[in-house]
Amino acid sequence: MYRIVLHCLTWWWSVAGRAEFEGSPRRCRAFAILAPVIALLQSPEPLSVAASATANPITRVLVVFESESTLPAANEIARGLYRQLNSAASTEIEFYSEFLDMYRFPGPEIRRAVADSLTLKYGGVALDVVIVIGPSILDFILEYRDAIVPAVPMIVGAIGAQSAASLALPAGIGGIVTEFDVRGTVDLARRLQPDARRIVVMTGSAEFDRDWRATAQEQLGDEYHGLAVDYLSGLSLEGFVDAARSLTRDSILVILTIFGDAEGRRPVPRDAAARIATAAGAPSYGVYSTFVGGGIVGGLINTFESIGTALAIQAEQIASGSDVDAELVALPGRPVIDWRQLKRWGLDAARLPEDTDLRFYDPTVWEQYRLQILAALAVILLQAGTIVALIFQNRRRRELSQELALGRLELAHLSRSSQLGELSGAFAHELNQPLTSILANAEAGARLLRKKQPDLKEIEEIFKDIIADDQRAAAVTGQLRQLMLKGETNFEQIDLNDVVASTIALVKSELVARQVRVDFRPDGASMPVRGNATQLKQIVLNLILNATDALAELPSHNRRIEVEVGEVENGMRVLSVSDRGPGLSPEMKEKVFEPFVSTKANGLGLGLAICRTIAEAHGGTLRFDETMGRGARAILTLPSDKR
Amino acid sequence: MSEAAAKVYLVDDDRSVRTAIGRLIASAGYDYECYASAEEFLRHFDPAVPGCLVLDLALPGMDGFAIQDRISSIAGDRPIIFLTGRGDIPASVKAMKAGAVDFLTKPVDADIFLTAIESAVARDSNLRSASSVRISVERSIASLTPRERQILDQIVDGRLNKQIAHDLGIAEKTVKVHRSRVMKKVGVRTVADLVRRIVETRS
Repeated sequence: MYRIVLHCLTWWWSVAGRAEFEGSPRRCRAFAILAPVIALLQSPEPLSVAASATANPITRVLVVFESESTLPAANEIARGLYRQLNSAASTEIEFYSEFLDMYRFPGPEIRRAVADSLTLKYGGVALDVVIVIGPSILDFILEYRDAIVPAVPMIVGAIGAQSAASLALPAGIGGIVTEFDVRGTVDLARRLQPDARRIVVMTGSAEFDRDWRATAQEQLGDEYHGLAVDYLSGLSLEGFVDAARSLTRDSILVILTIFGDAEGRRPVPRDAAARIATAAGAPSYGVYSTFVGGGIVGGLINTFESIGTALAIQAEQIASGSDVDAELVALPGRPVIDWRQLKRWGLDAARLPEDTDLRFYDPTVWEQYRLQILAALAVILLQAGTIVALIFQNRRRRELSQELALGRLELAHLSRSSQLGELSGAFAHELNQPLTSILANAEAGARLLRKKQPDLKEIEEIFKDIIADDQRAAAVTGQLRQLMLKGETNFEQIDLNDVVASTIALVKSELVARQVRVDFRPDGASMPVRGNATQLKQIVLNLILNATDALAELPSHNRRIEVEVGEVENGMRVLSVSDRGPGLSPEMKEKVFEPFVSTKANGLGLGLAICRTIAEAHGGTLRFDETMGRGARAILTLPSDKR
Repeated sequence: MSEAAAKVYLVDDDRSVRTAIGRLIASAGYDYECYASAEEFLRHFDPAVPGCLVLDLALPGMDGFAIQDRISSIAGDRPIIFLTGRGDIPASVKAMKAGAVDFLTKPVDADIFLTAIESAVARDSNLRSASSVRISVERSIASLTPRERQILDQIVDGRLNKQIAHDLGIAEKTVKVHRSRVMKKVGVRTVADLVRRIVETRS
């Protein structure tokens, strides 16, 4: 329980530290709310601490900051510390932190009071290591060390090489000395600009600046790795800016500090560097992390977080007892690069060392949303695949339905032609009648003309009759041709009465030969439907011939078929063909519409199946009347043409 | 019974065929009557009128064969010409067996048709004269006494006068007297004529 809480606490601590660094007020607030809760959770079990401590030793670390607790630099150091300690610790870590803020609260009384307070606080805590952050409180700590933290190993951090040299630290105190590495920065610049021809170092006129110039001259000399080194100083800020502007692209500009210029102005070094770097005609570099983001490409820089990390590593070593004789260690800088400046100068990011801290990195859309893009691509691919599959399927279905329609047409034609073939004798007779009339009329006319006084009136009548009979013969052949053709399936407005009348006329002689009478009762003058005349005639033909077959066994005076055309309430057209034959059994009334089902000995059983298909293609139905007691009544319904 | 008095009855359900064939018949100088159905025709048919019948074989209701049947039952042998759109052999054989004069296929050649009508009318005329002879023979037979009829039967059977006299128990001379009376009544001069007439009438 306790360990979990502690982990929570440390996690929150690190989150809070980061949050402060990143300036996210919401997370700070979250922490502020949670902290007391965590404290409450911790308090009920103080006795279990000792129990668990024996099982797993606790490393207690006190960190004393010179600043107040909201300073970003302090937070960065804290972040590096906590992160490193928590990630590497084999033991549990207990943190104690103090922010002395002695810049703002100087004075011997306060120092004494603070010392008393710390003595009181840490007198009963078995600290393993004390970390002092900042050079300004070193003298205070050293003065009261024996009272506050007697014999506790101590390390110091966040002090420059100069401070370290000027402070006479007693032996046994280790720590991290921050180096501002001009040479390393120039090496990084040379790496990025392999074609550079000269190096320009800018320093201001303040004493600190002059120290920097000396350091630089010491490190670089007048020629560094074959590149001439020029040192520019003693200029006004504008002078520096102009000088920077006049530089060519093959220069390496190193901006150290400009705390003061030749005109006695005291700019903030970071802002001065920013102005120069922005105007410069060559890529510029610096040694302070604060400069990064203002216009310089970057440099070999110590970040505060890296200081914290380095301090943590030392603290771990001390706590584990492996390195008791701690000493001051110079922390090498780390390459810190402004991504935007790389882009500005067209420098190759591939030349950067692996451990480079790339800032202001503007990731490409691909880098930023790789997963999302991959997911989206996958979805798009899947969708595209699905679409392609659907299109393919749709096309296949269309092809199939076209094939089916074609097959249906073919089948309908086949059934029609076989039916017409059976009726060929009847058709011959149907053609023979007008031919007979024509021949007889012509012969009679010829004979009339041979008389002395031919009856011209009669001869005119004869010619009129010949014309009429010829037209009648032509109508028969026309009908036959229409039915014999495979035909188009185009629909047009047709009169259902006409369809029935012409079909009956076509098979009239067959009906006569089989002694069957057809009574056709048309409804009204016309019964418009939208459909294909040939196909509808096929249905009528089929129904009439079926009825005729059904009547074959009856005495000839009973062989009657009734064909009715009418309209029902819902606007559907109805055509019915009834006979007084033996009829169909209830199960056969539906079954006869299945292919290859026939009640006839030599029937193929396709006729009605095809007829129903035709009816359905017209948006209609074809069935046998269920209520019919005697005989059979086939009913075709078709939607009316509402034009 | 001249040809001009002969009438041709035409039965066909097709109006235009009726009209055209009728014109053809008329052009040959025959009187004719047209009917659309068997039933209509039979209502108007007069067996006494000489001539012939032209029937369409395929008619709604009663067909040509049915008419042929009916006519032969009510009017005896009438010359019939069948017209058909389907000149199938079984139908024609059946028609000819039933006494049809001709069986013609539509469309019919005018000369053949009119020749057929001519021969049919001629045949009707012959039949009619033959039947008038028979009627007179029958009538004369009806006028015979029972004894005379007995003797006539025996003569037709080919028996001799002597045998007849012996069978009937009368004198041979008496038989001869009866025989001569019978021959006078029937209107023949020789025994051979008498026997032929009677056989023809009875057949």
